[in-house]
Amino acid sequence: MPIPTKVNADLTDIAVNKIDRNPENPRIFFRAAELETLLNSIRRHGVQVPISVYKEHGRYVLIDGERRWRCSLKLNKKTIPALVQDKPDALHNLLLMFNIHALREQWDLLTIALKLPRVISLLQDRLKKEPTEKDIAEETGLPRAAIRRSRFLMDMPQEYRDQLLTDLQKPKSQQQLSEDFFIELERALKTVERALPQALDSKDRARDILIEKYKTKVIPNLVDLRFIPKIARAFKVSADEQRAVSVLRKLFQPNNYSPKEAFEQSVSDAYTERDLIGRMVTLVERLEGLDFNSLDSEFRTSLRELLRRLTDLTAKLS
Amino acid sequence: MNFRVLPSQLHPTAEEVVRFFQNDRGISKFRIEESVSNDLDYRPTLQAATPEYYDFWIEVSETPYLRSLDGVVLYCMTNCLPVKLYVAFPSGSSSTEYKKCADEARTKGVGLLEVSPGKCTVIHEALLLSLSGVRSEERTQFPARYRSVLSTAEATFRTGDPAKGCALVYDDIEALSRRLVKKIQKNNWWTHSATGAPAFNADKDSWASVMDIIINRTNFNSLPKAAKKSLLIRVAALTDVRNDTGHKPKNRAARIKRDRELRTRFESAIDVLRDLVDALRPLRI
Repeated sequence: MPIPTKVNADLTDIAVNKIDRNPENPRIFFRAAELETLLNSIRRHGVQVPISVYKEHGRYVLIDGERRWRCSLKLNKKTIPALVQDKPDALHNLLLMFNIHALREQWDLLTIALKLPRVISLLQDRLKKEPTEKDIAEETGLPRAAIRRSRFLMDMPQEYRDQLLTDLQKPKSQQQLSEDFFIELERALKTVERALPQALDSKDRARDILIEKYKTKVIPNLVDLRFIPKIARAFKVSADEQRAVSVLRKLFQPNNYSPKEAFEQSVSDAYTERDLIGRMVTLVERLEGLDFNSLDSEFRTSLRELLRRLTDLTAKLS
Repeated sequence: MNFRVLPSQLHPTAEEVVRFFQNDRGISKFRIEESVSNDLDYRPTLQAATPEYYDFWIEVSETPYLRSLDGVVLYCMTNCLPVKLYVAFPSGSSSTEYKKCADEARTKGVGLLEVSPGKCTVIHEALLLSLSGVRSEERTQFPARYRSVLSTAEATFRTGDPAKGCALVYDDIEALSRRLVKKIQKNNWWTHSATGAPAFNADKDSWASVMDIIINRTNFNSLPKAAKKSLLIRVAALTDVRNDTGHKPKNRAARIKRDRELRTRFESAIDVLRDLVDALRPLRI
């Protein structure tokens, strides 16, 4: 059931002091630098867009506009323009938060990940079945990719979520670990777990070591983590699986061995071969489909020259 | 502690600052994110009153200075509010950002507290904004012999001892007045009267008596043109307030009144000193 589109709301100025934050707002982080920008805007121009609230026990609860409300408090404003709506039920309230905030303000993925289990649980009660990714996407307004990425964080052990949370609380310039890092890490380890489980003695230990290697720049960037699933899927390129297991085991040890080195020492050649063959097949198929008589002379000359070079190269194969 | 505005990641910083002020300054009652004045568009994260009738306002922030504090500093200076404003920030700010912000805070008299778990380091103390708003004088307008004292007087005033700051300037004006009366006596620049030249001790008589003799008995035609009677009356007026600066205020309103008066006195004393020095320059005293 989508969120009701018709909303009964009255626009009025209400006392800033009579407003409380919505306990269902999943947003954890309000970065000071962002608040400062909004603060300066409100100081200069006032609150231009009304916040949304509902009334409860003689006070108001925020639906939308927590940053505007916080800035108004900081600026010692007495009142703030607000749309006073009817009180929503628990699921509707939560879904409103997602639809209003997650789309417009680009929440941190961890923020979404921490609240998704509650959305799923409430949706399950309503739908009487486990909601699919499509159901969740429709109700929350989140792209399916964001839900999938959030799931990696949801599935992480609490200890690592706490590590991420600690880092996210720092100003952006000081954050060492990011959500993207953990998503790449989890994706890599999940692939190893599935495709080459014998390479992974302990997922937590591997996680700890890879985090440390990232912090100490042995893994210089996030993209290098993508070498790990490539090694784990050695069978796909008919590479030596024993070699892949050996380099992964070495990678999951405390040393200066990086995913890139592991890749180059195991499956790199196999991937290059597969890549070359694949390109050659595509090229040959395209050439076979050409009507040579219809080609102009300049193109034919160029093509002939390239084919001559290719013939010289293939002669070396024998 | 129940914060409504402060981002959650800064709550531990605020709590550490409260502990610091309790242990280091004996301040136990803090108000959280409350209005300080209806006229001011700002609520400090924490505020506390001191027994000396000035307030601590503490802004807890990710960075050591925020542009939005400029208006707060200006408001306090303009309204002579006895406030010490601090910014408390978690340790680990990047070096360029830190230096820029720290310089800005220091220039504006805002104190800086760097907070790490279990530790709060005072990077520099806050100045009382009621006093630090005092006009800063261009010291090159004065002869070199006065500059050092003026510099000390201004620093003393700003850093919390305004009475002493004023006294340092008064001392210079008094010394100059006494050198003037000696010069007048030496050259017999008195008005003719039946009683003859006045009898006095230029070193030991009170400053007020000395000024009285200068104003009433000097032949002003003998003095440089700029050394007018009106200027010397301005100097004499300082002798009344000179000893009236050191009394401790009995409440916050009295503190504001006293700080405002001291600021005016300090600025006008500097003006008098500059005018007197300029007027008496030809006498080389």
